[in-house]
Amino acid sequence: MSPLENKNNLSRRKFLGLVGGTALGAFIFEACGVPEQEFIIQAPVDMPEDYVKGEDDWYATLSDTSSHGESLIVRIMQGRAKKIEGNPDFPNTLGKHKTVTETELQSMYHPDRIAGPLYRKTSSGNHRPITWKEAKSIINNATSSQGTKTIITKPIRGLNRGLVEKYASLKNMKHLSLASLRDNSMYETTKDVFGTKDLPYFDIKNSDLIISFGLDFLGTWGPVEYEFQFGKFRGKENRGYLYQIEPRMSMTAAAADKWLCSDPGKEGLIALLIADSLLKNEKIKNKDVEYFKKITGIQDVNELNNTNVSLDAKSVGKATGIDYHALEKLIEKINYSIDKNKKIMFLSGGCISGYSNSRSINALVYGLNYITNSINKEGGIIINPENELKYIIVNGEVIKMPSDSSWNSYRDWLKEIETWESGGQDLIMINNVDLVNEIPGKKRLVDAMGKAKLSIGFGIVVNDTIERCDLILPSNTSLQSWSSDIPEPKTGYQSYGFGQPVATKPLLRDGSKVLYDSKSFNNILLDDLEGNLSGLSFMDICMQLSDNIYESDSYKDSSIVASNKDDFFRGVMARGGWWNTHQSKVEPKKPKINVINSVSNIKKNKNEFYLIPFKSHVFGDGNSMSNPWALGSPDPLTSITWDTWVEMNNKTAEKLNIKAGDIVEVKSKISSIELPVYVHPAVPPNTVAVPIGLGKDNFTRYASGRGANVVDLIDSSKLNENGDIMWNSTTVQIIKTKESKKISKFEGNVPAVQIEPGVPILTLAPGETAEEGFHRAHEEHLEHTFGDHFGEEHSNGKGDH
Amino acid sequence: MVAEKQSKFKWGMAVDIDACNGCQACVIACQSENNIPINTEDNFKDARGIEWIRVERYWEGEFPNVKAKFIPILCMHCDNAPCEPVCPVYASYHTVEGLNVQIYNRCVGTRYCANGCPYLVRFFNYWEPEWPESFQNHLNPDVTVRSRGIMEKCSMCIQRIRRGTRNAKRDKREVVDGDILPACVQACPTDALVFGNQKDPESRINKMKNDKRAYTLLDHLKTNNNVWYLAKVDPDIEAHHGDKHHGDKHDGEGSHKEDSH
Repeated sequence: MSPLENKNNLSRRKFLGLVGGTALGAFIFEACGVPEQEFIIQAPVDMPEDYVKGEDDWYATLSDTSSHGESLIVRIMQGRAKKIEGNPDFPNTLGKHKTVTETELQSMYHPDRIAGPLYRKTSSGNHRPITWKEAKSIINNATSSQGTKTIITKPIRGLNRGLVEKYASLKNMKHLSLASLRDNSMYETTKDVFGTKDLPYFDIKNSDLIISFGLDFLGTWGPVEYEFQFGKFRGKENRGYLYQIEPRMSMTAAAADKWLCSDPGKEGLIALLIADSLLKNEKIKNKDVEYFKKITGIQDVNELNNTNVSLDAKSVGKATGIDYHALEKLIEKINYSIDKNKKIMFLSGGCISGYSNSRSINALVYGLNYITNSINKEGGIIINPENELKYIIVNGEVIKMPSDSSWNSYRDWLKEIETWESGGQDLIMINNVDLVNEIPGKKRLVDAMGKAKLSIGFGIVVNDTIERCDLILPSNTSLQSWSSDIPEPKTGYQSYGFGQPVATKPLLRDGSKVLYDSKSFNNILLDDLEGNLSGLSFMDICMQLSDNIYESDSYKDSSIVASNKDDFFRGVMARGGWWNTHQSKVEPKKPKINVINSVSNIKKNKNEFYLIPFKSHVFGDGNSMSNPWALGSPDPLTSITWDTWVEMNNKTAEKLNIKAGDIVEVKSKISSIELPVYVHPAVPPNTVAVPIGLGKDNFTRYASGRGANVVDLIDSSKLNENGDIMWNSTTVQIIKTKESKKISKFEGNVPAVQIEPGVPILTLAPGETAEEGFHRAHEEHLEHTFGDHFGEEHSNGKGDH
Repeated sequence: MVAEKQSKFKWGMAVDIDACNGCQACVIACQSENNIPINTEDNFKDARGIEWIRVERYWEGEFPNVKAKFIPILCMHCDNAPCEPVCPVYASYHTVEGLNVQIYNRCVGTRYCANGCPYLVRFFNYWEPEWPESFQNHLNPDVTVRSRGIMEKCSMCIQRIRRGTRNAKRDKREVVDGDILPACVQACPTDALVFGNQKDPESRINKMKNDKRAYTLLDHLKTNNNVWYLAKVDPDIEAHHGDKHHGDKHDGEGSHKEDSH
């Protein structure tokens, strides 16, 4: 007797009897005319293929695509990762995740993952598979010998950074970091302005008026929690108002209530106009003004104005290309908010960081928060506390845990490249950075890399940089690795993120073969160390951090309560990290606002355009573009997929006789690329914009040879106040070719579901109901179609429509 | 209808367009959860991309007074669905919980339902979906992979609804608001998408559908949608309307009224 029969006392005879009875019952039921019941039986939920297959488990780990230390939860079934979601517990995710984060699942199971270590003896030779033992020996020989050695990573923080820096110091190596279009200037400026090592937290939800200079906090910069806060900012009873000031419509500008499109580099004048107006506002307390004057060292805003433009709306409007009425309205709104004691916040970054004077503008804008008393206030800028633990000691070795990301300016990189070019570089180790496509001057980079005695590339898939390395090592994805990070920015209190392996190695479907023999980058480094850290894995180091948190003063009343260290570690792993919401206020320490140059003068000839390279919201910096979900996800503003494009204003295109899909040559003084044009009204007539992320020769079956790389056009001959490339300071010519192509885009795939012709999305005035909005839209449509005449007759009740 | 009245659930969704920033997180989350085939470059060129939920973007105005507006569109799960009566094999039907779903192994691919749907949210599989073998590791075992010749559509993640109700039953408790989140709702960073049981008077969905900004798409068709939209708010709109010549001449903004600040 089977267990089933035993449990239910069901014999074969009884079973057949029941089946017969059920069939008869169903027949009678149908005859009685209750078809819903028949449909229930046929519902997908009850169809065999739609039964829920087994139990699932959810594990927390850290995201690799996020540059803010975001935590994920991953659904695991039979060892395989099935779904990625934001960690609902973690402070900077709150259960949400960025668009591209989901693609980490495809990174894990990518068909073009590097299968095992590859090595070539000479730079002209072919790579051949080697064992991990051989690879370890090559690494150890190279890192143990004397010479000039560099290890390159993305900007990293916390223990991840601590380990790399420890490794670099023990091996006598230099550590350099690189990320495309990173807001280096913003990160560094906020440290000065708020006198803290950590990036401050922006209390978006509680703000009433946000004036953002270029900071794309709803798009390509910031933790997903800022988007969540924005939903609350919009949804609360006193709906917040958002201004975005920048030369190209970013995602934040698209979501803003008002986008003010300034000529590139002129935004500083608007900040000065606001500062001047604020300092003259009698409602602002004298002590706030005095404090601002004290920390800036200026008595009159005009001292910061390095132009002949006087600080009134008309003059600033003329200089920036913005209608002066819009600037008057901006000032009026700020003054109104001050009158009514509303909460104002000034933010800066994004494209602002791509000018010669980015540091000055960022400093000035963040400094405005001192005048409006928006620091450490609800709806303002909250100074983040430093984490109590600055380092841990593992087997006598100190491993630091910096809470700010590692970064290097382009000036640092130039110096490094010169060393490579001189032939004096013995070893380059590159972890998951596509160096040759992210720094302008690909050919120079490739030649320089080729002169190093040995180059080692770590990655999930091969890219243009890794393929040029002598030793290629397959690394684990975020779903397979131990890691530890510190959220940047934190959410107003101490926090740490922990990552753990959550899935088994990718297998053939029948489980018969491991597809990719990869290892964790952190563990490869530890494997290469001798001495006190020898024999340890990164899990041991994460456990040590967990133990230290448990023993620290901060443990009291924190997110995890445990009776011993082991339970505490399990709690940390289950929740994806540790945080303590009990936090006393941290005051700015010795703030500095150093404004050298408020206006950047980008020289543009009459027949030229300003070039704005940007990160698309779904393409990001391009590192996720190996995944078809990222490539096939429409760019939110243009809806383009699988390609690079150049955005051009519709009226400019009409003047130049250019249509959507026409191929144009985008030509700077440095180089030129050919791209299809996408025409839309949200680009200034004097500007063109191109997303970064594609134009790679070798980047998996999905992304290789797609699009073009706008980085090739960037003029890197002059650097900004930070020593960085002025990303948004290049000008280009647009030359029409005879070719055109059909752009792969979502737009046009379906017609609009319109409430009225030309009114696809119902928009209401504050306090208006949907019904009133429909009525108004209808009236406007009739007026637009038939003219004012209709409106007059209709409003007089004379119309017969 | 008797069964529908007896059911404890009537599922619905609300979309706050004022909070939506068009980020596409819902689109990828849906693709991941529901084993939607990879949308290739050619699929988009041929208007054959499959997105059970899509984000439409509209431009309004001309530079510099231009605005981008986003609206996520998914199956409206109409109570009076035009796609249901036209299906000759009853593959398209209405559940007692108010969902409009598709029985894949009944579908014979006539595409009548897609022709009847005014929201264009039904998708036909013109090709057999293909994933490289390694990608098959991440396919969701709770969701059937649809083969060539089959119509597919949003099911409001019925597999999650079943799992949620089953878990509540296992725990001997009622399903509470927020227990069940379709993939798009879970992912939405701005919390613009809200899902819930309309029969629960305290649910968020009930509050949102009764909000003064709530409306349904193509209301005049009387399809009785179970997806509500909360209209976008433009604080400057009264000024536009009341003083349009001022707006045309300058920046599109008129004088502010106090409540529009």
